[in-house]
Amino acid sequence: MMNYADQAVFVEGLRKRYPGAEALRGINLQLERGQIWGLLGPNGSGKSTFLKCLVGLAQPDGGLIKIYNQEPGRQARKLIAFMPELDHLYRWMTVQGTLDFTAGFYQDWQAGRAEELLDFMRLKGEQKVGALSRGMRARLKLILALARKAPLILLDEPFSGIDPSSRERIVEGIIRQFKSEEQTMIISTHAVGSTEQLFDGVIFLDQGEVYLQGNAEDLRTEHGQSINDIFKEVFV
Amino acid sequence: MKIRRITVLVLLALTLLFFLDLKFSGLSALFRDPSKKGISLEMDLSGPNAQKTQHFAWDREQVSALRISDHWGGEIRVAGTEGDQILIGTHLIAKAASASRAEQLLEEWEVLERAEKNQVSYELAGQGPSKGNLKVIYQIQAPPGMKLLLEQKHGMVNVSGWEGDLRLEGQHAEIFVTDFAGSLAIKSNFSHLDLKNIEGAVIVEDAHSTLSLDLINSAAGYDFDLNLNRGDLSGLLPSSLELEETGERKKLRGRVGAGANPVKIKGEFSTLTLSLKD
Amino acid sequence: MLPFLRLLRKDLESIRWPLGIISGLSAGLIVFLRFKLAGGWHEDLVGILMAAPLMFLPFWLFWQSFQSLRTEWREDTVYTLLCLPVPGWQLTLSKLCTIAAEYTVYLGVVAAANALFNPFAGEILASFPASWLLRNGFLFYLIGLSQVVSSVIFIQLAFVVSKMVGRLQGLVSLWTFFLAFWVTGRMGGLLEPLFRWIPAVPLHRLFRLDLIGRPIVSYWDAAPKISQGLIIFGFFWLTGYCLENYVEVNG
Repeated sequence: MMNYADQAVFVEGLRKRYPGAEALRGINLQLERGQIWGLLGPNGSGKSTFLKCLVGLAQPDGGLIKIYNQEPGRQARKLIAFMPELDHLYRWMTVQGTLDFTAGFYQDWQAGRAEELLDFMRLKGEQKVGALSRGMRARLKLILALARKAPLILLDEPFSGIDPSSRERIVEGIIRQFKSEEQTMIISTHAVGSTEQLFDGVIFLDQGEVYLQGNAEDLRTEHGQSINDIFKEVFV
Repeated sequence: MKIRRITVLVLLALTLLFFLDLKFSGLSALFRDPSKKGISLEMDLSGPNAQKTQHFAWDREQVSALRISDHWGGEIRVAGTEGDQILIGTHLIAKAASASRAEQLLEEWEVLERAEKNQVSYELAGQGPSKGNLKVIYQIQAPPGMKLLLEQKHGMVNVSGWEGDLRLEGQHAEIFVTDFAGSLAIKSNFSHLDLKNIEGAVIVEDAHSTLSLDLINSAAGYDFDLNLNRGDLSGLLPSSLELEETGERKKLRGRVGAGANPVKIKGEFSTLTLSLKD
Repeated sequence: MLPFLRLLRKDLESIRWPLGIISGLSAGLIVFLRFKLAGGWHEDLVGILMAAPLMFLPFWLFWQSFQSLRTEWREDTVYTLLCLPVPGWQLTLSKLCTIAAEYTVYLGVVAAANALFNPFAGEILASFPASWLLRNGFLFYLIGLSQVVSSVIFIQLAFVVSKMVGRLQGLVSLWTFFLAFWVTGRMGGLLEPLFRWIPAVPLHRLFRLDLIGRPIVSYWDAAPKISQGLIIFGFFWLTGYCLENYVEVNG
């Protein structure tokens, strides 16, 4: 029997079909712990579906998933902090109410870190979520993911539709809060740009298949160009 | 996709079972709540919390008509007597959460007697909000030939072995008249009427009741005039009677014997069973 | 238990406004009609209109039961909900309790408004001892609550099944709701013999029916309801299990 315990994420032959479309076509991945992985690909390449399968929000049609040696489900969810691309916040809640609500479910919630992040992201606890701008809501979503000491953090398109100043703040927030000795992070994005500096490793996803995977530094050396340029070469 | 397929299969299997059930059990059996049939309901007349009895008596010469009105689900029992006196016994039964409350009700309420000209009337009267906790049983012994006017709502009327002029009004009532001779006039709705061994004129105006009428044939005979709108008519009908059905209407006309006693029944949504005995 | 209470608090907070508005409007209607009765409106018309808030209650609860889950999908908050490390039954139970709370509050407000302002209700209230009214009112509340709970469970099951099928969701949920009723009746009938040993419930004693004025003896055979209750509980468990393990967020 295979031991997946030393990997943060182990995926073998992962397939997922939606009516009329095949989103994932047999993905095989082994992601080491303690690194930030960039999940790169154009829109529709299967990035979000892949992350949803890891969390258990989408049901695979075949294949195997192990998160820290656990199958997706209630136990695995305790290990995952997931920030979806969509606005999943209750708009009638306040910012503080949202933090309090989330805190109640996770033992790894760090109230101090949440407060620090709130300050850093320039949000106020008494603000109504419905009254926040899109960039502010993205920052709040990030706080919810980063305020946990979760072993696996999944960020789905954290920079999508965000203004440059918010984007920089988010990147800075990620760098400040990531604890490489305890955590693994997967960030999906379709625009690499300034986020390149974040990644220890990258996975290029194209039409539901892994096109390229490897250590970011090795790929730069191998291709003699930046990850952003490789991305453009592959997908544009 | 796999779970979607399983879900669809389960739904289809249940749908198939449902239609098989529909075919073999019929529509009404499908959604019948089995717990509904498990409710039993009956009246319990034993053990009232408190009871008060009143007695009234009148000479036949003084009174030609007696009226009893009961609107509270009690009973009116009438029996014939050979004597010259009209005897009226009333039992007022009070039900309450406690015996003392029941006693209090009996103090607040009583059967009231009213006499006007040659008619005497009896009715429950009193003060306080708990009229619904009270019930009166009237027991009457009436000489023949007088006039009885009985009104009953939600309760029972039982007239047995009496001769005279009987007028009944019933709403949601159970009415039993047995071994009666004379003139019988009834106005009723949503009631059950069981009229057995009746000899004489019968006039009924009814809606939504079930009515069973057994007439005794005599030399005087009967003149039938029955009109039913959206009702049912059944029973052993003499061949001399003519039944006419037009749409929802049924008419029965004709004479039996000399035709001296009119039998006039007008019913809306009534279920009528008629028979004529020799 | 704490996570469940968080969920419950969140669901209760989400209904504050709609519940407040609907209850307020219903109570307002009763007060308005009270004045119109004094102003000469026909008492039959007023009587019917005063009963309207109570007749409206089942429809309102039916709608709310459906909406409580639908809104999570429509507003994408289902991502939050399904990511939580809690059993699925806690998610559905929290919504069930919220609907039960809506039923309780709405019924309480409408009953109080009727008791205070409805002259027809006043007549009935004056005819019975207060303790009897409270006792029977509470029993009727429980009977209504059991109906509400079973309906909400059917609606939740129907909704979750429609999400699992993924296509023609409205139609699938309607048909599932219908089938759930049918299965409950039929399966309940099959299980009923197992519970025949349970003695019949003396309704006349439970409700003190003797105070109505007509001495009545009435027994209720509880076995069928208990067997149906088991089936409904099974549906509740199934809904939670499917929600936790098989339901997906929007593609």
